[in-house]
Amino acid sequence: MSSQIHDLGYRPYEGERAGVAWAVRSLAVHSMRRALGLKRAGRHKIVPTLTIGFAFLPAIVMVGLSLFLSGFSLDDLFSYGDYHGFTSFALFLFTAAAAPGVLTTDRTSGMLAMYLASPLNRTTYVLAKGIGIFAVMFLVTVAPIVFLVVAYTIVGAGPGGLLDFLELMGRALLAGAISAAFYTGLGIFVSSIPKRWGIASVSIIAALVVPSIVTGILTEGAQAPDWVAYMSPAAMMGKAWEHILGDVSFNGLAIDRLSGSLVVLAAVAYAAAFLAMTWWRYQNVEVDR
Amino acid sequence: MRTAVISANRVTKSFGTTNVLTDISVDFPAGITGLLGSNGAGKTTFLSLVLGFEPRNGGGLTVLGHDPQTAGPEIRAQMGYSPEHHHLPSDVQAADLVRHMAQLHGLPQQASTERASDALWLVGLGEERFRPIGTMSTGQRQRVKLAAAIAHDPALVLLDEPTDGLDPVQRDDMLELIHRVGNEYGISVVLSSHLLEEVERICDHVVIISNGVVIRSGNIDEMRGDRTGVMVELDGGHELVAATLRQAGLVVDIVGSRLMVDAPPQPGADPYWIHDYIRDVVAWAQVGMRRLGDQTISLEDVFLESNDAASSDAGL
Repeated sequence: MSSQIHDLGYRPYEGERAGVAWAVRSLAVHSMRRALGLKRAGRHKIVPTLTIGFAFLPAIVMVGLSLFLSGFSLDDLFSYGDYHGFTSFALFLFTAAAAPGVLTTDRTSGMLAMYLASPLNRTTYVLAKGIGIFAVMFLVTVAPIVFLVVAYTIVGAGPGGLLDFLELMGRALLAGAISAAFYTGLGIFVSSIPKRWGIASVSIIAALVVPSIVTGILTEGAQAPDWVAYMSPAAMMGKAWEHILGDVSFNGLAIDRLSGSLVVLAAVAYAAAFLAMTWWRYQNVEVDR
Repeated sequence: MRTAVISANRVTKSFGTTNVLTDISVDFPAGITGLLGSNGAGKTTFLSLVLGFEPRNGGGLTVLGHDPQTAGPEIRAQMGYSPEHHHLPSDVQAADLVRHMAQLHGLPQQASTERASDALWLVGLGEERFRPIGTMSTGQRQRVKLAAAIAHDPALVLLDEPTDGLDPVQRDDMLELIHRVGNEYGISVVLSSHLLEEVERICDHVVIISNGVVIRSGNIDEMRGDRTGVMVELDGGHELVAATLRQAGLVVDIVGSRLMVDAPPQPGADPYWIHDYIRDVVAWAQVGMRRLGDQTISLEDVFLESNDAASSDAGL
């Protein structure tokens, strides 16, 4: 029996066609994959893998210590609210790698013109990119603290009852989601400005680290008013975590003297402002056609 | 009558104080239409308005029956676009890029994957579809863009300088592909180009833009047919034959070995009387005749004439 290859030629598409929401979802998923280095060369996977590992490391160490050291309690080392401080370095690195990788390259590779020639427009494009980055930020903001809460509960070192567990889980999710939104907003806004990936990455690190140093000097050394601490992303997010997870510490710093609720609101406002500025930037960005 | 896929009525567009499009009024019929103009004429800006990238300043524009300014997503779902640049993300496989673009245009995941593969086979990149785009030649990238433009089976594709950067063999192949897209696949094509020869070769219609204004549009064959007259190519005796024809009241230009003869219309006469008359004069002069036929006009002639006329109208 012989076989034949038939040239089917061009076949019209008669199936269903989804709308803009499907396009947003498709671009968000594509952006998540690119941020994580999936279906890309090995070197693109290094930074995401390491930073996600760093974000989980404190939780893994704590759970390990609880398992192998009898009588060890989380309170011996740090509270849930301190977790952001232990992982902020990983968060900074992850933001600096993920956001520029999915935004600047679209402008330099000419993909932006192709995206805007699809059902997406400038607004839905920014929305899709924001959703994609926000989703991957969960891996370094929400996932580690959720892992810690669940693991502690399993080994018997977590909250006592179901209600306490659910409350703690809710607080952990809220803290993680707010920081994911904050870092997503900052990351996409800074990435919307320069054309080069490297400049955007360095700028994100600078935007996260420099204000913390400057506000620290101003408030603690130069007696500047306490509200200046609102300009320090790291201090603000740390305070927000402590406030949400109910583990407020007081070290006598300017950020400690600010209202926890206002700091949380400020973090949300920052995220919204960054998103709005990114949207505005993309209404005017020149498309390489 | 074929309906227009793009219809523009006094469209204007400016960037700051620069008027890029001052009056675009034209219909693009179904089929393959060449959008012709020199660099900076406003072709790419017009395509941007068609795609809804930019708002226009004035006039009316419909694409596939909708206004791109108010129904951009709906229109773009039925359109394909191949931009002029061919950078593309270097580390993405061709199949992934084409599949991704098909998905963005509304196709489900499985259909996108299948059609991306089919489209890459159709453009001759079936064996290469899993190669990263960064390892591909300019010709292959142009094909990837074409595959991405047609994978979702659009009603209309806009191809902006699709042969840019290609060598002559690749250019021939690309033009053949575009011809198939327009004629076999049933997809209307707008081919933006500054190369007259390729528009003349594959397009049914042409729209010529100069300085932001449509200076000529229509069916290419009809445009060529605007000219009357006969061309005769001789081995020798040009002056003698020309003088004899002029004595008979005909207008004759000698161009190399050819005589270009313009005949005044003679109502009621045999339309081929001039051919017979020239044949008789050449026979009388006893010179060899290589060719006798209607004067043909190239798209280049149309383009140059239209540009000259537009410049005269503008007082340039």
